[in-house]
Amino acid sequence: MRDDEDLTDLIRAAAGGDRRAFEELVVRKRERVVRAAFQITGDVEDARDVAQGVFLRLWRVLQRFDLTRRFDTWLYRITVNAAIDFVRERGPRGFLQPLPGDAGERLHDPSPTADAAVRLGELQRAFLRLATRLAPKQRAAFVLKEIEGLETAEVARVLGVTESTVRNHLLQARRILREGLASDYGGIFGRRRGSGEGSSS
Amino acid sequence: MTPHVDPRELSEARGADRLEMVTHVAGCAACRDAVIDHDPALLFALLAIAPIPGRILEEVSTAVAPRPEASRPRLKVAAAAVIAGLALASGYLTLGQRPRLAARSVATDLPTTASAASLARADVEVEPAGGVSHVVDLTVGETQVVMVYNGDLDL
Repeated sequence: MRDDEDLTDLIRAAAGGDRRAFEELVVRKRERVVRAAFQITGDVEDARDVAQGVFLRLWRVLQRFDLTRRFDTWLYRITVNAAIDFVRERGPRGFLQPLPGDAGERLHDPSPTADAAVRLGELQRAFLRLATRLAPKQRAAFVLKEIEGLETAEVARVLGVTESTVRNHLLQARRILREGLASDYGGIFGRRRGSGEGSSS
Repeated sequence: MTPHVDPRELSEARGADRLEMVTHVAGCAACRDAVIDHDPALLFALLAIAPIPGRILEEVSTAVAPRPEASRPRLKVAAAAVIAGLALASGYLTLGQRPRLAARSVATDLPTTASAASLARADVEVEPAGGVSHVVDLTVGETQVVMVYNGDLDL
């Protein structure tokens, strides 16, 4: 609750032209914005560009934000629309940009275990590859619900559609991703092979 | 030590609970198998804990930080330029003649100005808020310059 109050104070100050408050707001929200943009654009540099545009726009329109509404929903809405527009203008990529290779540039760090980190890297590449088969709104719905962890109602508000439409997008997205995993990754992506690996619980 | 995760709960969990579940599944082979058995697509939920490179985050802040103080005035200038161009083109097409050489001032209502900016598909937002816009035609010879000013313009 205290975090919510802090955020409201920060938004109010930034909307009033307080530059430091705005910079703090950017620091708090930039990872979330970049991550969502990355999962939609499929390229971390593109995601950075989208995020920069989102925050520049945010500075211009922040004074119009209704403080009784949920800020993250509003921010996700701006981000998703910007990312979808970006992809639409850029066009589909024929070849996915490989993730940066050196340790300082890797998208995934070795948490919580080295083994998991390897799986996360593979998983990310698989998602970027298979997500190109999704329609933009299907992809956005999946990213928001299953990766960012928003509730269905919130996803609906972000995308400007009904909850039933979101559920439909999610059903389709999950089916397409499932089929892609089965056809391209043998359906056993990430599964333990043999009995040598134990649970870390 | 976190208990095993029920895959059906993973999709519905929110906030800190969800983060805890995702982190657990990422490090627990048995739970990953359970998620795959339930719905392999849900494994992509693990991407929620993939950190973004610090370099990218810093570049976002760097690109955004210096602009707040200057962006609004700059935007007004850009908007004025766009609106000026539109006003000029509109007047030229409507009247079917070149703008007059002498400077003149015309008052027009703001919604018209907002509409003009919108038609231009300019990357600016003009919020109608009442008041009047002053359109000043400064065209000299072949150089066409029109300025639009409104103190109530909310960009």
